[in-house]
Amino acid sequence: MKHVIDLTKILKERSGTMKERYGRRQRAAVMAGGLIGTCLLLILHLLFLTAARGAEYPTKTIQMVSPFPPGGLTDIVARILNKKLSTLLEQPVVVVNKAGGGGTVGIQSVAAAAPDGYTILISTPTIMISPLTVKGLPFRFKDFSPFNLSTSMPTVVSVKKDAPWKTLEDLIAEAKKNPGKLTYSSAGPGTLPHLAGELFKKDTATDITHVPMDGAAKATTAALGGHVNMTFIASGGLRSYLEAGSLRALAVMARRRLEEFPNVPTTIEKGYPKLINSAWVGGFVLAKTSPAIFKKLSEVFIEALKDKEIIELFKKVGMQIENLGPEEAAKFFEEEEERVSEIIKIAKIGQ
Amino acid sequence: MDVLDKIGLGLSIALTPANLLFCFVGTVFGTLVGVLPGFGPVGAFSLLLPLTYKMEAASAIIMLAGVYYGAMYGGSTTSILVNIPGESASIVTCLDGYQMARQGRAGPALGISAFGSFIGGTLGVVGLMFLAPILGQAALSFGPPEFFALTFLGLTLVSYLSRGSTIKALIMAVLGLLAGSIGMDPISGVPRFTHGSTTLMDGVGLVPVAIGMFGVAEVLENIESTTSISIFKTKIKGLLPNFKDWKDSFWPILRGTVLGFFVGMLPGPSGTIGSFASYAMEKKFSRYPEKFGTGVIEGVAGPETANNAATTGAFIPLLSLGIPISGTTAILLGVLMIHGVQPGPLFIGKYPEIFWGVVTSMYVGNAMLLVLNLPLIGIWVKVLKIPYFLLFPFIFLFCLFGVYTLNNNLIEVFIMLIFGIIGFLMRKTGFEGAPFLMALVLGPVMESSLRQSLLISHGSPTIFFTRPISALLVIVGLACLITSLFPMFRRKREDLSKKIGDVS
Repeated sequence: MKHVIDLTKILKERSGTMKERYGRRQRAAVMAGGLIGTCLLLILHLLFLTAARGAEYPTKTIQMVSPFPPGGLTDIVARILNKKLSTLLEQPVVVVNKAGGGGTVGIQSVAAAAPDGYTILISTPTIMISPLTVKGLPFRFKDFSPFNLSTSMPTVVSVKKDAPWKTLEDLIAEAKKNPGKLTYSSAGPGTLPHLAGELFKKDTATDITHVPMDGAAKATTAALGGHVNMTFIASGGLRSYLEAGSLRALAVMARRRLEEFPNVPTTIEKGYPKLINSAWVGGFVLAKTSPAIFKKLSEVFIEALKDKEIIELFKKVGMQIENLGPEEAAKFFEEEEERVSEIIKIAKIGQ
Repeated sequence: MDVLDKIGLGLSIALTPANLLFCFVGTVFGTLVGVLPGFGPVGAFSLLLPLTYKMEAASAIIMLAGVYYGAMYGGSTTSILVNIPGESASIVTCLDGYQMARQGRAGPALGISAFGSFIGGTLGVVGLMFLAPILGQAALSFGPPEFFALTFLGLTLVSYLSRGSTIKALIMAVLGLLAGSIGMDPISGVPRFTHGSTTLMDGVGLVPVAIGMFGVAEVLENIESTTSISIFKTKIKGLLPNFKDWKDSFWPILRGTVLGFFVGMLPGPSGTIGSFASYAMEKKFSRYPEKFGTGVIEGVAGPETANNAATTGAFIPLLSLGIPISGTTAILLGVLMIHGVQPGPLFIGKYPEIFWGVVTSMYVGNAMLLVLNLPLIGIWVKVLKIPYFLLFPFIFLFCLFGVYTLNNNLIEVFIMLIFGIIGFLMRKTGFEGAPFLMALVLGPVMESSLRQSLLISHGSPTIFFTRPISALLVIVGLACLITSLFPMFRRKREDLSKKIGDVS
């Protein structure tokens, strides 16, 4: 408190109005300086405004929000694409990481931004799943329009390397014999592996126990160490373990086999036509964005994903390029949404 | 010998002019980043990421690794000089390091911190070199029951983190556990205490709370009490640790290295946990535990060594298995993947140049940091002479800036400010932040591990005792718990016998 009182004393000593302290000329000079400065600012502002209005989108930096911490698989998609996009759009496209809440913090920030096309979102299925599983989220999936479905990684049913089950049938048979005994790890409640596991339960009519871990890395570790019996993780995260033989893949939950592991059968081949699940990454803007901007973004993304270098990079990372434009993506998401909301309801996820 | 060949390969990569430069840039940047409260390796990584795309994979990791362990060198500087941790792994260094500075012994504190960091880092690299594959496999045998037992053990040591009343420390620990429950329930996904905020879904966050409680609160406390400058009335006595300091620090440094290295492999903020555990361990093994908190050099040597050993330990799961244990190592994983390198069990065999190049550059980096940090001690000590009203606004600014860089999220900055005020009130009433923080970090892990274990065992608690590692840790934890309560019982008996003596 003493410190505050000292401060006021000091201020008082230096007080006195401008009139008392400075002469006429000086005051005039200060005011003139202020007026000129303000005028300059206004002129510059107007210049940029007219430039913006007359010119086509984009006229300034675009923020590409990545709702995950830097370095994660989704983030990599953003970082592989943004340089090429900057070249194509002739404006910088900057990746901004806004991690938190499993992606919801970043998605929410885009939902609250202006629908002017200068804030775009790169997201995983969490944009579809979280509004259905988390109460009170301030956004819905339909608040966004997908302009591109960029990549996907199918979920793989995998077990530890020396597990007693060599095929999917073995695993299902064991699960049916001992309902509730077998365990599976997921990246957490409401995450894609959780949904995959519940989908598996429903389609194969088995009762396996869900053990939610904290993230995909921990879920994989739990399976590697044999602490749980199986796990449902997207292929990109499992490649090195499948290659090294530390994990055994029993089936791929997709319509086609994995390029890198052609010996792993698909769930469809095994007789479960609806047992499909994949971790996709797509580009979104707010649904209220103007159609012209939406079209531009979708064209640019389609072109970027045809770039040879980018295709190579994605291959190295282990992601399949989908590159579906708005119409095809919309169809895909419709089916996906149906699948996802059904399994959420049946498995009572988030309720 | 095979290993010598590999070291030769590594040196041929680490000692190229380009990689030496990257190592230097990384370590210097890391030290700076460590000194600034709030701004941590993750923030630095985000800044450096675009640069790494053009670099080779090995160079990129050499530079980023330099930032990572460099931050552990710099983090202790502000802890010792102004009682504000630069990193959450340097919080315990505040407890004794700052007291040493007040007694005019900032130089020895900074010195032993630098040397300890060097020894911990270097021996850690030796461990990494020889033990990576084996330890990687061993780390896999740690499942939910083992993590529960480990965090249980960690929490029993919480009372060792306080200088004053044990009861107050336990109260803080319980409050820390409660604060740790804020966020999404780890098993059911139901939001707890989040009041609709998506930011709080992940909990209050270690860094905003740590910087708030230790950084902002310190600034507030000093603004309120001191109008005049130097709190360091005694003259600066010597710039380097003397022989007695070295003698006292010998065992803490060794213990800190081993403890930090192994704790470093565990998931989570392992540097922070390692330094806390080292402090508690030193206090437990010391012949004069009551002196901890008054400026005992063991309380600086152990934790500072441990946090550097821990950063090296954190590389083991990453390089031997491709598993990132924290946000920082996850970014390193991402960098490798963007360069087309697939980390995993076959990494060391498939990319020996990267593994050995990075490992040998760590030796180089640690040496660079020691050479860099020792002369800086003289400069840092002069910082103490800067008047508060100039110094503290800058520190506060860095806290605000640093926390914002975590996730570009203003709410986290507000969390920091709120905990700053809470921390300030705590100091006025004699409560300490270290037990709160330890519980905040360990509590959620303990809860999810417990529930995961019970899911795996289908409800049976015997799982903790049928698995050998878990059983051992639980028993050690119970032993620690009981022995830490002995002083209370002993004092009660003494009081009681005194009363009887008075009466008769």
